[in-house]
Amino acid sequence: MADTPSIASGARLAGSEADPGGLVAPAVAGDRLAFAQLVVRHQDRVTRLAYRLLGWQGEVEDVVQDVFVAVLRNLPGFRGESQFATWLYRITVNECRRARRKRLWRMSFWKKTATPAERDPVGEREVSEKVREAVRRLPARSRDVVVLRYLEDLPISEIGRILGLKPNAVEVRLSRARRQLQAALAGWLET
Amino acid sequence: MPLDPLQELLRRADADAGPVPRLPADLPGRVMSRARRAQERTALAGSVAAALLLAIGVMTFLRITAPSGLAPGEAVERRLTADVAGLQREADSRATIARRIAELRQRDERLAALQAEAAQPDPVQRAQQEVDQTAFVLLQQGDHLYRDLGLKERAADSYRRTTRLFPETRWAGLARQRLEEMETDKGDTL
Repeated sequence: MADTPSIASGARLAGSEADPGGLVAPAVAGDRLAFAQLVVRHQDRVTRLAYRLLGWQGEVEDVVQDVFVAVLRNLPGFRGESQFATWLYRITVNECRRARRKRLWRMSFWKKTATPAERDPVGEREVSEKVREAVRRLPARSRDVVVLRYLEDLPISEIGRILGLKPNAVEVRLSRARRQLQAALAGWLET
Repeated sequence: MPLDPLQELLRRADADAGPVPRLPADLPGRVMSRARRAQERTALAGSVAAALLLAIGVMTFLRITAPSGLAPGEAVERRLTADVAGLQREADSRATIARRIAELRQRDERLAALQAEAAQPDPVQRAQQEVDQTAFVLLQQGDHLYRDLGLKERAADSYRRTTRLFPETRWAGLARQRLEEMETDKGDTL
C-alpha cells in the first residue's frame, strides 16, 4: 500500500476528469476503503478485458489480482494526466502481456500439442474457436489493438493513450492485424 | 454503422467463448493480501540476497586466508609462517645481491690498482734513470768545484768517481772529457 502517498497529486485529482468517482484521490492518499471501492467499481471491465487479452483462457482471476496489486503499488505515481480508466487499461494490457509471456514460457515444450484450430470445422462453435485461436496466435501488439478496438469498442485515440502510441501508429497496427487475421481466417470470411 | 465481416466474426467468437469468469466477492481483500505478500516476498528476497552476499563475502575471505580443510586459526598461523618464510627468502636474496655487488666493487678496485701499477714505468728503466741522475749530479759537483771554486783535485776526484761508478752513462764521457781538459790545462801551465 502507498505508505507515502502523494498528497499533491491526490489534491489535484480530486474532482477532476481523471477521477470522476472521487475515489482515486483518497486512494492515492492511502485510504484503503477508497481503494476497495475502486476495485469493486472497475473489476468487471478489467476482468472482461483481461479475459479477452488472454485469449479467452488462462488464470484470469490471478491476472486481475495482479492488475490491482500493480494499481495499488503505482497509485502514488498516478498524476492524473490521463483518465483513471485509461491508466487502468494500460496496466491491464501490460499485466496480460506479462502473464501471456509467462504462460508461453511454461508451455514452450508443449508446442507440438494439437490445438483446436487444427481440427476440422463442424459448426459455428468451431468457427468461433478458430477465430479465437487466430486472435491468440497474433503477436501481442496486434492482438491488443484488435481486442481494444473491435471488442472493447474503444476509439483509436483512446487506444493510442492506453498503448502509448500516436493514433496513426494504432491505425497501422490495426491494419496489419486485420491482414494477419484475414489471412488466418480466409475460408471463414468468405462464407 | 454495419459491422465488417471480420469484426462480426470476432464478436461472435467473443460471445461464444462463454461468460467472463466470476471473481470472488472479496476481491479487494484478496488484492490487499496479495500486495502484502508481494511486499513480504520482496523484503524476504532482499534479506536473502543480503545474507547470500554476506555468506559469499565470508567464504571468499576464508578462501583467501584459509587453504581448504583448515581451521581459521591454523590457517592464519600457516599464513603467517608462510609470510615469514617469504620475507626470509627475500632477505636472503637481497643479502646475496649485496654480497655480489661488494665482490664486484672489490674486483673493480683490484683491477684499477693493477691498471695504475701497469701504468707505472719499468723498474729497470727507473733504476737506470736514477743512475743517470746520480751521475749527472756527480758531474755537476765536479764542475762546481773546478769552475766556481777552483778546487781542481777535488773536482778531478768527482770526475773520476763519475767515470768509475757510472761508466755506461753519457755523463761518464763528459767527466773523462773534463779530466782530459784538466790535464791539458796542467801541461799548458807547466
